Amino acid sequence: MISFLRKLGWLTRRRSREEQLSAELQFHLEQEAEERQADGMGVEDARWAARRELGNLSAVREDTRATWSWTPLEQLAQDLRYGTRTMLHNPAFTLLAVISLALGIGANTAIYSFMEALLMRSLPVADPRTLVVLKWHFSGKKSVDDSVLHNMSGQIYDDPRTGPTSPVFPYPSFESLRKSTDVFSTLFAYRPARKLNVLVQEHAEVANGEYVSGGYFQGLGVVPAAGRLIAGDDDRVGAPAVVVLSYALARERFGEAADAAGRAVMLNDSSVHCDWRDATGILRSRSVKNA
Amino acid sequence: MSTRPSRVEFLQGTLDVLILRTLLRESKHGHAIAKHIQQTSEELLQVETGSLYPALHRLEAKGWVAATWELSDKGKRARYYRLTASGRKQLATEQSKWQAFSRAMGLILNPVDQEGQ
Repeated sequence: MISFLRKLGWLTRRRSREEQLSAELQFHLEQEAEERQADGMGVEDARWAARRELGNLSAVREDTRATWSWTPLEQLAQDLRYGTRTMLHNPAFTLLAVISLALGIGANTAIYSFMEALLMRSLPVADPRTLVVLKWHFSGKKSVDDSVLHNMSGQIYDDPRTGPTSPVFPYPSFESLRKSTDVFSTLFAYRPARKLNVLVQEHAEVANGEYVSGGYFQGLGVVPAAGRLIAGDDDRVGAPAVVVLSYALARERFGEAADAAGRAVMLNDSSVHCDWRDATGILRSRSVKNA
Repeated sequence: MSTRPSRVEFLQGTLDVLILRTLLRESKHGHAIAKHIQQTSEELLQVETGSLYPALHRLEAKGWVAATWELSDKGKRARYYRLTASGRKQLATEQSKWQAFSRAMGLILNPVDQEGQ
């Protein structure tokens, strides 16, 4: 490694290396000549004798230079020069090659960033690895009709390993599960609200929403950009209805996230689902949908 | 002038270890290294300039010697070579290798010690 760096340094100081080698050999010749003069030779004779003794000067320099050369890198530089020359010689082919390479690389980058977002990037919550989704299933029964459950609003599907399975729990079972804290630090529930009519400052639009239980944001470990998030105290009968807006929606409708906190929005028709609600908190960007 | 004794050829790879050994006590320039090897070997070894400088620069590339420009005792600028720490280590290994080799050669070429007994 040190040798590598040293050679790299020499490469940049090649010219000065050449001069140094010349000076070094010159010094050698002078020493040799002086020695011969001391033995009683004439100045000119001594000079020639020294020169003869040294032999082929350019061969010596060539051999010495060979110990500096850093062949793989020099060859690479040659190849690059040759490649550039060839490309300049044939611009149409070069253009075609560059375009096809650009398209290929672009397409691959797009696919990989998509897959990365889909598969690799973790959820924007405090500790994604501790999150689990609970489902229930009943074994030994062929269909829902055979079970104690006769009717429910929600999704039940047949899992080949577990039989009929559903992520939808009756509220009383959620309540009782939430009370036992020996397995989970927080248990929270959520349910897609599907499309919601959001009326903000007399401007209506359709947005996706979710109903969540009081422990939702605490359990995810999400911090609001402004205001406060839905908490346990909001999750009781008679509590005022509150909503958390996504960062994007808050920015779009109120300008700044901080301006949206505490403002009123209307969700759906007031007679069906909800009344005027206070926009309680605003999520940070890259966060879950407004609830 | 031509009273020099007949010289022995350098064996492959001997020059490097001789240079390293020459630099063990003090730093020297190329000419002085050649002279020292010549004199110490009782003029039996003559270092060709054509192989000396490539060897010095090769040793420098390997980091076994380091070179600096200094003034010679006659006041001229000369390139002085000195042994580095790794050069010292290399000299130790090379030296024991050569000693083993020359002993082996001696044992085979001069078996007199044993036969004479």
